[in-house]
Amino acid sequence: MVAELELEILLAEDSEDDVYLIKRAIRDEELPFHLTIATDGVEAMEMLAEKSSSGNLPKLILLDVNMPRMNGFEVLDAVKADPQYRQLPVVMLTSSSRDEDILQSYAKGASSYISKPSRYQEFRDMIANFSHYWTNIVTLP
Amino acid sequence: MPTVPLNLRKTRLLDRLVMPAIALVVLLGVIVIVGWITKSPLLMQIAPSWVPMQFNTALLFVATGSAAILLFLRKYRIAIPLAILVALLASLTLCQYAFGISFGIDEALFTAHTTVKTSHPGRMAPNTAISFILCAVMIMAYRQSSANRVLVVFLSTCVFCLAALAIYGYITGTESTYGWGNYTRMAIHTATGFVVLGGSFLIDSWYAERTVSEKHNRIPAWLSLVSTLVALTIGLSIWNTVSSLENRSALEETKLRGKSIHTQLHSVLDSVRLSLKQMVRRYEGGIRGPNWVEDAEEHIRTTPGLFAITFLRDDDSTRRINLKNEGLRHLVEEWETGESPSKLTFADLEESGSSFHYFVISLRIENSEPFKDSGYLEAFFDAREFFSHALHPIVEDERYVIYDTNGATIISTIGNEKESKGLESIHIEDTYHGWYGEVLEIERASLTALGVTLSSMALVATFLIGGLVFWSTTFAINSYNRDQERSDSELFRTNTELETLLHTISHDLREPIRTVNSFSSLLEEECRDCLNEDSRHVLDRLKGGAARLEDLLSDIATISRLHHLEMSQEKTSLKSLVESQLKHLHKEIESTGAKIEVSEKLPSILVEKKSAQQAVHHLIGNALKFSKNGSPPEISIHPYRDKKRKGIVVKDRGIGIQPPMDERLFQLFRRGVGREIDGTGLGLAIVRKVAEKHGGEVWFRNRTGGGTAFYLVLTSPKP
Repeated sequence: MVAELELEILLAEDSEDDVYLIKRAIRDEELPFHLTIATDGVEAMEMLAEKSSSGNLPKLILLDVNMPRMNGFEVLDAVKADPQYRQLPVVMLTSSSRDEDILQSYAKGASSYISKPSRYQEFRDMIANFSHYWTNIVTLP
Repeated sequence: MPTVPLNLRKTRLLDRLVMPAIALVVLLGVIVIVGWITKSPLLMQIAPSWVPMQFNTALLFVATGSAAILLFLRKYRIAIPLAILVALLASLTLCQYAFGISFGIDEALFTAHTTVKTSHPGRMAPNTAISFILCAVMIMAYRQSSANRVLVVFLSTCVFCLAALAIYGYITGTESTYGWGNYTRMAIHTATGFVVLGGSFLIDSWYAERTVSEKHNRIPAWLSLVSTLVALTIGLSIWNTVSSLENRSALEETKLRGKSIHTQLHSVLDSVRLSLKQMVRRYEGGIRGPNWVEDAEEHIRTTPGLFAITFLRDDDSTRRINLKNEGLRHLVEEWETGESPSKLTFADLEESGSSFHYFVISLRIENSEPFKDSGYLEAFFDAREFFSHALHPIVEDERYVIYDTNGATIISTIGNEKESKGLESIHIEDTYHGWYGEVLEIERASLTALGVTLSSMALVATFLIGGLVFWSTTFAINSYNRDQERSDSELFRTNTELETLLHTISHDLREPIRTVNSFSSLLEEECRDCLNEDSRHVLDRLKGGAARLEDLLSDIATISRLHHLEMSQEKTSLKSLVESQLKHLHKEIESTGAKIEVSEKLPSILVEKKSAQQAVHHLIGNALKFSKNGSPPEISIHPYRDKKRKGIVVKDRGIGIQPPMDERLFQLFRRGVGREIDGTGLGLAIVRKVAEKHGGEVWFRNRTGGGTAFYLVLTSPKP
């Protein structure tokens, strides 16, 4: 891994299992990510506001679509509506592979969309590929 | 939204009969035209004494039938102008009747050589013309479908009932049902043609209404209108029969009474004449002096109506015999100075200003003793007095009027002369006496019960029953439809709940299954070296179960999605669609070593692409899966085509399908084989769902020499 800079990622995910799998994948792939975890959309927005006031915005937001209180699409709308956060890349995470969900994500301004795979190995590969991409983008001068 | 049974409409037998039936009407017209040209009474009239179907009528049947067929084929541009032409010709014919004129259209095309029961040569009956106008309006209104359906139904019922009434008339011999006034009658084959036309449109409307998805289990509200009109027609037929029976029996009875009155009058007249004859004989035999005067006075006193007896010499000099009343003298004098007394009639006296009618019986006397000469003995009668006395014993309470030959009333028991209209008249002219003739009218006898005629009861009953039928059918239809609506909405709610459940199951259960999958693969990776053979087996079983469950949920999700799928169809090449699925299945194809042949002739058709891909995927997937043990699958894919539909056939040489599994194979979770072959039991159910969504179908045949052929039709027959 080239980038030694630790990348701040806000992960909004209500499933402990998925949080665990993502953490494990990051650990197993030895990715330089620092995960901040929110368990629903409302908490994610609060954390974003907190980080914004301390001038320490995350470099990437990972949003699960199905969450209590405020779902992923609603958070995406709120992020894209706020000039402070508009530039932040958002990646949607979901277990659904319905075309409508994918189209809706892009229409609302998500940068990418990930169907949660059901094999751990695939999960790990996906996190690794995706981190390469985002680390490079973020570390560009 | 409940799905529409797409092929519901054309599968109904009656509905299929509509077009051939109308074609028969056109044929009927053509046959009659041929009949006119070849002068064949059988083709024109059926029986020689029956009215022919007029040439114009036959022509309009051809036009109306053709317009109706074109209408059902949606060729409105020809059908509507044709209908307008029919309406125009029929209206002109009606105008001719209404205004008593002739436009020369009756025989414009053909000169009528048969005019049985025809008021104007070549002119169709007025009821025929009206039926054609109704048919034409029906065809013009048909196009706007549901909005005008009630109008179409009303008109077709009218046409049907009018013609059915005519046929009923032919069967029962009631002419007033098929002929109006003295105008041309409606021929029996004309009536049959209209029954078919009206009936066809009714049947078509019935199915058209029930084909609409939300109404396929409802009864159209207009059915109450139809049943009311039919009930009224039946009632009117019965009324017609009853009143014609009544007329017939009334006529019989009236004739009988007339006869008895006639006989009575004659017997009274005969006895009067006899006594006068005896008087004449007495005179001829030599009565003398004043005796004859007493004799005459006695006669006048005892004979009702007799008021004067005179003797008229051959040289016209008169000796007055006697007078009942001096006031009548001028009448007798007028009579005696008349030029030819034997030809005197009642009217002559009337013209001379007499206020009542009387008649004279005149008898020849040869060389009478009292008068010493030959001449005539003449007896003057007051007609009113004479008739009322003569008829008193037999028609005491009857209402009758007696007219003289000139139509002037002699005696009336009615009072107001106008009331005498509607009385039956009997001619009782007396030719024997030469001088005497009159017409008698007595009140028409009727079939009555409690003083009311049966026909008027039938008429009142018809309208009461008509109202009752309307009320009860409306009530029944409304309550039936309400029940259907209720059960529909219950069904709809239950369906929606089930669909929601299906959707929830297929989505929400995937989450935990994914967790099981992910964690078991994580465990497998972590403990790659620490698992013994038993633990590995357990872990494999765990993974296998989870994978099967995941496939199952994925298929359930597909079915649930198909249910709600919006069918946006696009022209798609089935060949490229098959090839794309072969690419998806390349792992299976490689592992089984399958030989697959795809026909070059697969057509391009309109389909909803994604669902069509899924159906083809399952069919090819099955062919790969159910191969005979050990041998590589042999699969061939061909186009399917029947009269109206297109699709594909997937043939294999696999294990085949055992007989008890037929239709059930396409049901949810039905599997033709045991657990040894993977599968969710939903594949063919998905294929069938896709076929149904396209208005097509799927079925299979076991092939000779082993294997199965699956037929998938993805187009609906054109309506």
